[in-house]
This record gives sequence, C-alpha cells and structure tokens, in this order.
Amino acid sequence: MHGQDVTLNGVSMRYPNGFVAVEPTDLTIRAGEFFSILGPSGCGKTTILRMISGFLDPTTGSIAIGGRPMDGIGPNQRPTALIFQNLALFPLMSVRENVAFGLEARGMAKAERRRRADDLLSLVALEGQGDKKPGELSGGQRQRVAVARALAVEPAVLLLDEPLSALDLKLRQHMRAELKDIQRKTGVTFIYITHDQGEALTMSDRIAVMNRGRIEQVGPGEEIYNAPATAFAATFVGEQNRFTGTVVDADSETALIETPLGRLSGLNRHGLKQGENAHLFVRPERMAVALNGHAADLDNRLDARLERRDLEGPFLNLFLRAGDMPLTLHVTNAGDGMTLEKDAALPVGFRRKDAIVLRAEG
Amino acid sequence: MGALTRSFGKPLSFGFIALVAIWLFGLILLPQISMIQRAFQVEDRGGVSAQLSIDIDKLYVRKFDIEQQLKALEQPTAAQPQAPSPFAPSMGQAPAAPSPNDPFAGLSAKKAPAGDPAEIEAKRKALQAEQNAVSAKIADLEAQETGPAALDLRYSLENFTSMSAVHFQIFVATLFYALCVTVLAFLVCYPVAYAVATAGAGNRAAMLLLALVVPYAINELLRIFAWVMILERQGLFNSILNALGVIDFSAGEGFRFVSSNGAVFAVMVYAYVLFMVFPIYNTIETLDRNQIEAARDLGASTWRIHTRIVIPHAKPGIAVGAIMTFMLSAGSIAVPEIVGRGMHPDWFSQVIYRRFFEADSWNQGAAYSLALLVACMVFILAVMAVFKVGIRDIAK
Repeated sequence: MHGQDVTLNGVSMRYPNGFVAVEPTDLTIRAGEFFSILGPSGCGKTTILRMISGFLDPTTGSIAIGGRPMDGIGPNQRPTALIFQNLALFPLMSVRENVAFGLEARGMAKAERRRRADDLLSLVALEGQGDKKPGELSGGQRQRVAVARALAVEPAVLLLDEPLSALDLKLRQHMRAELKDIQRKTGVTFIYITHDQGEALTMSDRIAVMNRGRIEQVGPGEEIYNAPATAFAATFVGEQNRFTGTVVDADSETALIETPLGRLSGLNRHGLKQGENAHLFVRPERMAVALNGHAADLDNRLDARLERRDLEGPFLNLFLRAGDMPLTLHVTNAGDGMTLEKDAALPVGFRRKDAIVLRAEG
Repeated sequence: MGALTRSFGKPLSFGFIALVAIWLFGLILLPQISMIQRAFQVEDRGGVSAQLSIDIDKLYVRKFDIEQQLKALEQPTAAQPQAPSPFAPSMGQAPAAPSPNDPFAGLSAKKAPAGDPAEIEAKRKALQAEQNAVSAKIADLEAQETGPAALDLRYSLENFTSMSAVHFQIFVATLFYALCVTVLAFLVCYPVAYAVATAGAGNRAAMLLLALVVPYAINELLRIFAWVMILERQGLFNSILNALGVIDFSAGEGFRFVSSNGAVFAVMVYAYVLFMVFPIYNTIETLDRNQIEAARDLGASTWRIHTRIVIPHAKPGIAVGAIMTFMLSAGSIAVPEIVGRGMHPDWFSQVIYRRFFEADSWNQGAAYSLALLVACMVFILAVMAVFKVGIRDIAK
C-alpha cells in the first residue's frame, strides 16, 4: 500500500438551494501524511470529504489524487476508502465477509480473499473474530473492522468521518493511538474529519482549521496552537483570553493595542497597521501571577480580582476578573500554597512573545 | 387481563374481550371449522333421498292445486284462471301435468264445474279428504327425508379423492400461475419500492406513496374493467397501435390481449402491486443509506449492492409481500373471471366457485378450497425454508 497526494484546486460546493457549503478552496494533502480537517459541525468538512470520495461532485474546481484528475470518476473507481461516522458495517455478513467485501467486488477468488481478510484482521488485532457478526463485537472492535474493511481495497487515501465520536473517552484515546499506528504501518494517506481538537492535535501531521466553508489555517498542530492565523483558529483550538481594542502602534514584530484595560502588546505576525481593530490572544497557561517577584519579565500587567480557584491537581485554574473582562489562568501547582481569598486583588501579566495580535473579523 | 382492566376500566375491558371473542370464534374459528367439517363429509344425493325430495316437491304441487280448486268451489261465479304453482320453476314441471308415477294421478285437477249445490258439496268433501291425505303424506315423507336413514351423510376423504384429473391439473397450474404472478410482481415492485424508499426525506417519498395509493381508492372490479378496456380487441392499446399504423382495424386486425393468461397475470400484478410494494418499501426504508454508500465506495457494482446489501436486508419484507401476493392471486376469482372470460386456462378459484354455486356441491367445494389453502401454506413454508426467512423475521 502506498499513500498518494490529494490536490484540491479551486474546489467549491454550492447546493441547489443556494447554500454554499464550501467556498473555493485550494489544498494539497501530501502522500502518506495524517491530515485532519478540524472545524465545528456544519463548517463544510464532511462535504470536502464526500467530494474527495466521489459521492459529491464539486460545483467548481477539480480534485486530483496522485496527480490523476478525478472528474467524472465514481466513488467505486477512486483509490479512496471511506470510514463512515456510524461505520456502516454490513450487519448480515460475518466480520470476515465485511472485510473481504471490497475484494469480492473486485472479483477475487474466495480462498484468496479469505486469506487477505484474515491478514487484515490480524493487522487490527482481531484474529479469530472473523466468523462473528459485527453486532457481537464491542464498539472498539467494530471500529477496527471498519478500518480493516477500508484497508482491504488497498486505498491510496483513507477518509475518516469522525469515526471515534461514538466511543467513550477511554476507548477514544486508545483508538487514537491505534489509528496513528495503523497509518504509520501502512503508509496510506489519512484524511481525518473531526470537531475534536484533542483528536486532531494528537494524531495529525498537519491540520486544516475550517470555518463556514473556508479553510482558515493549515499547518502542524503546534503551529495551529501556538501561532493561530485567525481569530477563529485561535479560539476554536484550545482556550484563550481575548482582549479587544485598536492598534495604536505596530512594527513588523510587535503591535500595541489600546484596550479598556490599558495598553497591551503582543506579536504582530500578520502585519497589522495602526488604527485597525484587533484582538489580542493569550493562552491561560502563558499568563502568570505577578506576585513575589515573579513579575520581573512580564511586559504586560493587569490588575484583576480572583473569582474562583479550582484545583486540578498538577495545576490550578484561576478564574479572575479584570474590570468587566473574565480571565482564566492555568498555573502549575508549585506547592507554595497559593491560598487566596475570593475577591483578593491579584496582579497578573504575560510576556509580549506569548501573546498574539490578530485582525478582528467583520 | 389485570393490566387491561387497570388501563381501561372494567366495562371497556369487558367490551374489548367480548369483541375479540366474537371476532375469533364467530368470524374465524366457526366458519373455518364448519368448512373443514363439510370438506370431509360426503352427501350422497342420488338414489333414495333424491327420489324422496322429488316426491315431496310433487306433493306440494298437488296440495297447492287442491287449494286452488277449493277456492274456486267457494266462489263458483268467479272462475279464475289457475295461478301457476310456486313450485313449478324449481321442478321444471307444469303444475297440472302430473308425471306417470304420481300416486295421485287419478285425482288430478279438473275445472270445477258450476252445478247443483249437492254435487258441489260432494266434490268439496272429496277434495278436502284428499288434501288431508296429501298433507299427511308430506309430513311422513319429510320425516323420512330429515331422518338419519334417508340422507346419506358420512365422513370420508371422497371429496378429495374424487377430484378429476382435469381439476387436479388446474389445481397444479393455478399454483404455478400464482408463482408467476408473485415473481412478476416482485420484479415490478422492487425497483418501485427501492426508488420510493431512497427518494430522500420529505415530500417526494410522500407524493410517490400517495400516487401508489390513490388508484386503490377505486373499487377492485372497476380497476379490472379499466384494464379490460385497455386490453380489449378494439381497446386503448390496440387503438394506439392502430393510430401508429402497426395494425389496421379496418382490415380486422388487432391483438387479442384479453382472454389470455398473460392479460390475467398483468392485471393481477396491478391489482396486488401494493401488497408487494409496501412491505418491501418498509424494510428498505430501514436500511442505513451509509451501507449502500459504503458498498459503492468499496467498489461494488449496482447489481452487487442490490444482491449483497439491499435484498438481504429487505428479505423479510420481500417474504411478506410474496406471501400476500401469492395467497391473493392463488385465490383470486374476479381477475380470471372478468379478464379471462372463460377463454383462458381456468384458475382453481373458478372451479371452486362452480362447485359451490353451479354444481351445488358445497362439500366438494369446501374440500377443494381446503386443498388449495393447505397447498398454499405448504408452498409458502417451503419457500420460507429455501430462502431462510423465519416467522420471527416476518413479524419484524
């Protein structure tokens, strides 16, 4: 099995009722990578998946897989395999027949496809379960049957439509590792659709963040988390403290914005100019309490009051209020007994390089 | 029972149970039992008992005749013409023409002469005496007829074993015809049911179903006659062919579509289409559309998607539809009677009808219908076993 690259060239999807599910999109997914499309429900990510698999024809643009244009090629002719959200296993067939179905459709002899199906079942750690019906398996096992069934047709690209969403948390975390492992072993290109940022961040080589039919940012998980390109990407992935204001001073590296809480500065990666409306984002774990001399290197300072304090064990969640702005801080539990009363005044701050200034939308 | 009283109260539950009991016993069990009993009973209507009933009929005729004469004597001036005997049509005999073996032939009717009172009185006496004698004789003969000795009624398999070779051929052919209708109906209905079930949510499916149901608001006989008009020698179908120049009416050309088994099949498929469409539609509708897409995604052709995914899933619905269509077509009488007009191979239902109402042999008719019922049941169970459909699947 070899993964192939997928190229979307100006692909858009407009439904007959006028709803635009996907705006014109250019996207290249590299051969053999684990690529996630992350976005809220209704953002058009499943539409992209269905266009790649061939169940939907793009309104404009074209899709190529392995350099071969896919126009007019049906889902049964494409080098893709799709794993459905509800898995769509065939309940009346045995597990082995399920896995071998694609081979049966290709006219492979019975003994040969039986052997291949058993090989695949051992790849997904389901040896000896071939004679059961899918209904007799657990959720995680059914998941693996679906993967084996899709891999049986030796696809160059495996498309996964939120396949883990029906599983409970423990199983989901386990299946993440397993999917990643299978992807590494087979070298197939995985395109994974999810609204769960945890799944996207842990498994993916690269992530596309999608909102309202538009891909807002593509990059490795760290880049998405540490250097979001848009306000949506910044807030959808992980938690953020957001300050809104107007840029009063900007150069190629940093920007200073005027907010109701005073002037705050952060990195200016997207070349904002003076006078633009902007948001400044800081992650809760990048903020610090400016007490006991910890404050030396904090470029930005705020006076806040403590509203609530939750102990998570390894770290503390502090919920504060600065003026009428709610703030969240994650601080490491250093064991120095930060025993603060409610409404206690608490100066907090953050470094310029930990904050990012992004253009306010619309 | 306790749950029923709790939910509906005593009077209502009692009503329910009474209605169910009436339905179960009065409408299902009793008629069936009586028919089964009849089927195994032979009523010998030749010989003694037949002669008895003929004699009784003749005596009634005579009695009526005497009564008329007595009336005439009491009103000597009003010499009415004799009214025809009410028994005449059933016996096919003129009332005043006694057969040679009539035991009262010597006293047969004469026009009562108007004469002197003494003579009339004597005549009246004689007639009254005869009337009494005839009444007594009738009572005697009727006692014999209803008595155990005269009516030769016994339990036997004769009603079945006496089925003629021709009837048996029709019996077997009918099962085969019903099978043909069922297969044809399936071929027609499966694509329809699939199309409706996968038409997508909302209005389209509802409209399609409505379009299917609306013709069924029309009486079955009218629907059959509509087909006769289409298939008739100078009907719609041939008219279209005539207009297209394929055939020429003026030269006496025209296909005789009606009165053939093909026409009977076609009309029957139409008549029972819904019984096939709905169960199949219901099962296909429960199929997860993703399974069809998954199969296509894995490279399956349309044919394979249907044979491996859709039909196995719809099997219980197909079984229900096939059973209903088979039973209905095996027992249908209106379609072969109206469309066939006796010029096509007979269906067994027609033979049964004639046994009941033309041969006047209810016992043999009951036996024939029981034989058809049992054959249909055996056939259905066999088909279910072959296709591995259980009763439980059907109940779903």
